[in-house]
Amino acid sequence: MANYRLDETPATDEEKLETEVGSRLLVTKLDFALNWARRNSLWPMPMGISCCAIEMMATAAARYDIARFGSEVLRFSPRQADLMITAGTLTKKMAPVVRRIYDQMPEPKWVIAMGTCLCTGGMYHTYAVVQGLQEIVPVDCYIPGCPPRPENLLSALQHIQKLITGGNKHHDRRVETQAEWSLDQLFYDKLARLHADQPGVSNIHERPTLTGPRSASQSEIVGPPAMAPSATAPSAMPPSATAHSAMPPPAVVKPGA
Amino acid sequence: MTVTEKDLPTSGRTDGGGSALPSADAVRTGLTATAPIHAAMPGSRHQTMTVNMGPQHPSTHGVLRINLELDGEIVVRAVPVCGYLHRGYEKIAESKTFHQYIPYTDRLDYLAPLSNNVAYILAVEKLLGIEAPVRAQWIRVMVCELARISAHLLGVGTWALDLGAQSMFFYTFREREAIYNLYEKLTGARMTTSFTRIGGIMADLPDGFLDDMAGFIKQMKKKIDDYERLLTKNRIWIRRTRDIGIIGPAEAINIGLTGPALRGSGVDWDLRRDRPYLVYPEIEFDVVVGRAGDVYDRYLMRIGEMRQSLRILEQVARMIPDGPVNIADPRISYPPKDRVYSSMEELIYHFKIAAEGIRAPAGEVYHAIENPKGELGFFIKGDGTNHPYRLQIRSPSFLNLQSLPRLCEGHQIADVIAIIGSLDIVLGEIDR
Repeated sequence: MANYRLDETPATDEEKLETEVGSRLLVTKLDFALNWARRNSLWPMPMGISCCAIEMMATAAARYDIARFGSEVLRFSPRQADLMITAGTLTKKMAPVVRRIYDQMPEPKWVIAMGTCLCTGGMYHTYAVVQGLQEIVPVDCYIPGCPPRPENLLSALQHIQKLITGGNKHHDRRVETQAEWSLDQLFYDKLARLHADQPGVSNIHERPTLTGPRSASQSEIVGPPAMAPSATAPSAMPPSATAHSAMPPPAVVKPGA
Repeated sequence: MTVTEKDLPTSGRTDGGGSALPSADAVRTGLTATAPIHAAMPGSRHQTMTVNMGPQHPSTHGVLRINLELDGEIVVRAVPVCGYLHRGYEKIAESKTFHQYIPYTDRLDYLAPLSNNVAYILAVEKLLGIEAPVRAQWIRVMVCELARISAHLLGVGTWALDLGAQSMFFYTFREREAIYNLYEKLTGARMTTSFTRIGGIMADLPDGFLDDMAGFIKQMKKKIDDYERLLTKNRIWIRRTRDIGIIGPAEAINIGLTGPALRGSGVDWDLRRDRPYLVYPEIEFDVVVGRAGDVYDRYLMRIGEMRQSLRILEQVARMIPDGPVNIADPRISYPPKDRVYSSMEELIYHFKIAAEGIRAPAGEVYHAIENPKGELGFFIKGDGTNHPYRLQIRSPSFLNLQSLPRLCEGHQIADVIAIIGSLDIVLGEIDR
C-alpha cells in the first residue's frame, strides 16, 4: 500500500478510499494477531486438587491480582479454557479425571504443573500418588515449591505467554532448556569415560529418558532433541574439568575485613 | 391399583428389604439401587435422576465427589464419594521419625497448618510424657488462634463466593494475606509452616512480632464488622442460608459433628474449655453457640469465633511470659548452634537427634485439640522406637462430612452448595 500523507487532499475516489482504509486499519499477520490475543487473554482452568490450590486462589485475589496478566477469567469448564493450572497432589484415583479434563480442553492448550507433587511426586512417595503430572499429560511449565508462592505462578504464566508468542511452544521450550541439557550431556559423557573399562556397566553413556524409546514424532512432543553421545561439547561450556580448575577461585570477601 | 413388591422401597437402611445387598457395581460407584420413598406411592410415576457432582467442581472445596439422586430439583439422596486425595498419610507415618512427620501435618487441613502442627506435637509429647515450656505453650495458643481466623476467613469467603457473593472472597483474602505476613515473619513460610518441635517450637517470636499482631488485631476487628455488614443482614444471604440443612443437637452428636457445625446446633462443647490443653484455662473467652442448627447459624458461629480468637490473641499479647521456648533436655531439643560448633558434647547430642530421632516409650496415646473445623485428634501407638508403630488421625472434616446425606435430603439442588460450604470441609483431611 502506498503511503499517503494525511494532510494531502486525495485527488481521486480510489485515493480517498485508500486513505480512509489506511488510517483506520492495522495490517498484520494473522498468526501474530491471534497469538497476541491468546497470550493476553489466557483463560485458566483451575484444576485445584489440594494445598497448592489455596495459593492459586491467592494469586487470583487482590494482592497478586492475576488480572494484571489478563488471566482473571477462571473457567471451571474445560471447554472454555486454554490453560490448565494443575495444583496439588495427583493421586491414582484422580489421574483419569485430570486426563479427561485435559482432553476436553480445545486446542491450542497449555499446562502448568504447580507444586513439587506434580513435578516429581514430592514428599508423597506412596502407593496412592502419581509421581508427576507428566505421567498423564504433557506439561509446558513446572513450578517447584511446596506450595510455590503466587509470584512463582505469575512467573509461570508469563513463561506460557512467551511460549505462545514464540509460536511453536515445543521449539521454544527446547531452546530455553538447551543449556541445561548440554550440562547433562557433559555429566553423562564423564560417566561414560569413568565406566569405559568396567565390565558389566554398558550403556551408561546413553542419556536415560523418562518416556522410554523415543520415536521421531514423539521427540517433537515430549522430549529434548536426541543428542548423539559423542557430540562435541558446546563451545559455551568448558569442555573438561581442567578448564574449571584453571579458573581462579572466587574471591572471598569477609564482612568487616 | 395394588402395590407390588417392586414398588416398595428396598432401602439398605431397613433390614426387611428384599435386595438388601447392593451389587458390586453399586458399591464401587457408591450408589445402591434404592428407590425413593414416594416412589412407592400408588399411582405416582416418579422417576429419579442421578447426577454426578465433582470431583472437579468449583464448589466442592477440593476433589469431593457427590452422587446426587434428584427428583426434579429436589435432592432425594446425596452420597459423598471420597478418596480422590488419598495420599497415604497414616502409612507414611510408620516410616518417618516423629520429627520428620511434622511437615506432613501441615498438609492435612491446609487452611490451618499451624493448628495441625500443634495437635500432632501435643500427642507426641503426651506419648513422651513431657510438656513444653510455658512461653512455648502461649505461642502455640497464639498460632492456633491465628490459624483459626485464617481458616474461617477462607471458609466464609469461598462459601459466599459459591453462593454468588464474589466480593466477599476478595475481602477475606485481603485479611488472609495480612495473616500470611505474620506467618512468614514467624515461620518463614506462607502456608506450610512446620512450626512446632517436640518439647517446644522452632524459634522464639521475632522482634516486633507482637506489635505487628496488635496492628493486625486492630484492623481485623473493623473488617469483621465489614463482613457482617455485607452478609449477616443481607437478604439474599439469609434466604440462601436460613432454614437450610437443619440438624438437631442429638442427631449432630450421634453423627459425630464437632466444631462450629456442632455448636451451630446448640451443643455447648468446645475442647479448649471442656478438655483444656496448653494454657487455655488461663485465658478468658466465650464459646459461641447457635440455636437453629441451620446453615445460617453455622455462618454466625464462624464470625463469632473469629471475634473470640481476636480476644484470645489480645490476651496472649498481654500475658505472654518470658523464658525459654524449648525444653532443656538434650535428648529432645537441639542444643544451641554456637555450642554445637564449640563443644564436643553438644555436637554429639545434635548428631544423635538428627540421625536417630527421638525414641518414645511403648504405649498408646490419643490427644485432640479444637481445630477450626472441629476435633482434630492423633492416636499414636509407639513401640519404643523413633517412629510410630501406628498413627491414626481423627479428622474433623471426615466426620462432619458424614452428615452431608442427612443435611441435603429434601432440599433444592442449589442448597447442596450452601450446605457443603457450611460444613467447611477440607479434602486433604478427609482422604488423608
